[in-house]
Amino acid sequence: MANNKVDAIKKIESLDNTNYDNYLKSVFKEKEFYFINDNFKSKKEKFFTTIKNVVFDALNDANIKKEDYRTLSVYIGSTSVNISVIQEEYKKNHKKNIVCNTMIIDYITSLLNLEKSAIIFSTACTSSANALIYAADEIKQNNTSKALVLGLEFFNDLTFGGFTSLMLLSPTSKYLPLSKDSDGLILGEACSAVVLENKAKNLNDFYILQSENLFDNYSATSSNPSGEVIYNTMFNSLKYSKLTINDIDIINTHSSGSPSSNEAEENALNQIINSSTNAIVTSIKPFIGHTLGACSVNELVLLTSCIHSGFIPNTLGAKDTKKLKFSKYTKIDKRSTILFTYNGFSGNNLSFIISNKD
Amino acid sequence: MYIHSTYKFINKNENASYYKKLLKEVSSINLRRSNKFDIISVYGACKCLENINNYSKDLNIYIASKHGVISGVLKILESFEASDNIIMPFDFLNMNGNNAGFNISQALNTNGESMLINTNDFPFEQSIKYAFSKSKNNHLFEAIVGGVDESLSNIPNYQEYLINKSDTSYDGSSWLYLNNNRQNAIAKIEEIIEFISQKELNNYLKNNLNFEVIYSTSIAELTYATQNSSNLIDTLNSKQKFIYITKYNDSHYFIIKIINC
Repeated sequence: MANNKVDAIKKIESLDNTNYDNYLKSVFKEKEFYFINDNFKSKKEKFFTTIKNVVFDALNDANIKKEDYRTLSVYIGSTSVNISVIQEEYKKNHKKNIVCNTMIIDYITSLLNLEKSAIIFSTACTSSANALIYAADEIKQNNTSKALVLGLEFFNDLTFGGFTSLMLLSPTSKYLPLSKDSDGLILGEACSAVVLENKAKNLNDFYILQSENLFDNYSATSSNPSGEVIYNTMFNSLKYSKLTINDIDIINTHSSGSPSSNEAEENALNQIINSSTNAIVTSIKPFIGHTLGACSVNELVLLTSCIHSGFIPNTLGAKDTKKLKFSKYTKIDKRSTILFTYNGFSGNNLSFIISNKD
Repeated sequence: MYIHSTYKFINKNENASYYKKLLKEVSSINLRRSNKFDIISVYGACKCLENINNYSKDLNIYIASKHGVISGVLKILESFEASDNIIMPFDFLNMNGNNAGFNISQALNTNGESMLINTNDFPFEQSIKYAFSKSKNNHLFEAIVGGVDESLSNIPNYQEYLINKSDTSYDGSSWLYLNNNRQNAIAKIEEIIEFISQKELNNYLKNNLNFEVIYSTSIAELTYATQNSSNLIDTLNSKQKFIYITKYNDSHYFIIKIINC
């Protein structure tokens, strides 16, 4: 989509259902996959250069002084972590060696001269959400004052081939969020970072309220179609935040694309949304694809940046139902309360709420 | 947060079938197509709760690992290269380290959160710290925390990962069952703190002179998550009030303060 946040937000603002097909044509070239727009000599260069740029952009954006980098607590959420590099190095080394899957930790630790090692959360599609929530908990408990949360997912043949083998990828290659016509996922790669601090620096900074993390042991690869666990995660995150669904302005859905996951999520949303709910429903995935373990941080960064830019984006490819009213491009006053909901492989479900309202 | 039960094993490299047989003795779960990392995780977790009859359905599962499912990653790399770029579904699913948490939940019939935490230096300590943090917000909190690593003997040039190249790489799975209930507990975890200088650590120890200081020692860096959890379990059995210290380098320490009940 873009190589920086400003360009990404401009692009999102320009997209609606009339130019969605053309956008997809411009994105899907080699494969039906949302690639990062850059030409790198190797996957290794792409991996490390992208992470470095994202980390320093985020720290600069948050006005973190260079001398404070070393005291940051760093949390990473990813499913494939550095498998793209592992695969490339494995080939290069004539299959004689595989590199450690925690090389990213060494890299970040050295890049920022960290006092404490970074931690990787691997909980499938909720990975970066779990990293974010743990970082917020550590700040709330005064165990750290500043945290950098990184969501990263890079194209690799193993993940792409794995989803192909499970027949979970969309043959029509078009995201139709929570639609009954949706026929699968479209994967994407992206990297983004969030800086959390114990004090707001700007009037419109978002605050992480409460979250809930529950397990669904229905299947390793899909949610219970009843949506009960997804509903419970949303319900409890509202309860712990001392809010009701009527306090929520936007629900950012997971909208993974797989029919079974969509059914579960729609059932959960139909239960939680009532006749007096004004919350609109949205999905960022049509813009960037499903970025797996990194999706929560990627989507949080894009959605909150849209709000900071004064608008709610269109939900591309979505059609309203009786209960679900999907977002249409709307100018807003940069304030919002957002409920995020995510579910993934191995039964992971997580919901959390952020707000920058009083 | 109280420790109620522990279990550990550390073995030389054994194959998955060996552990499947052991697992059958404690659980009816069928892990026919699972990898060794998942099997030793489930086996250790089941053994830890073997004599606990009333654990909660909301039990949380936290797995700490340094290398995660590294042999699963190797297997999928090998098959990808050898099979004209075809990935088999189970190879792909087995690459996902959090599958172990899913399988443990299935075996124990629980629905609390499950998490795989990887770090280079203190995976087990970070997982206990995570549990400790969660326990503060919930008096009904229950969790099992395990340090799990499989032997890397089948990984090409695995000695490169070792501090001492001649060390043996072990299979290991060491677990603690934790909750906030003092009744029948083995020990209480009072504090978990990370220090980033020897000076900070020394100051802390000066204020805790009535606690015995125990330094964890790793027999092989490869079994890091396992070894530290295993050493902690051994210390629980032999000491009353102690501060368990894991040292990563000259400026980075992790302490767990424990009082036996």
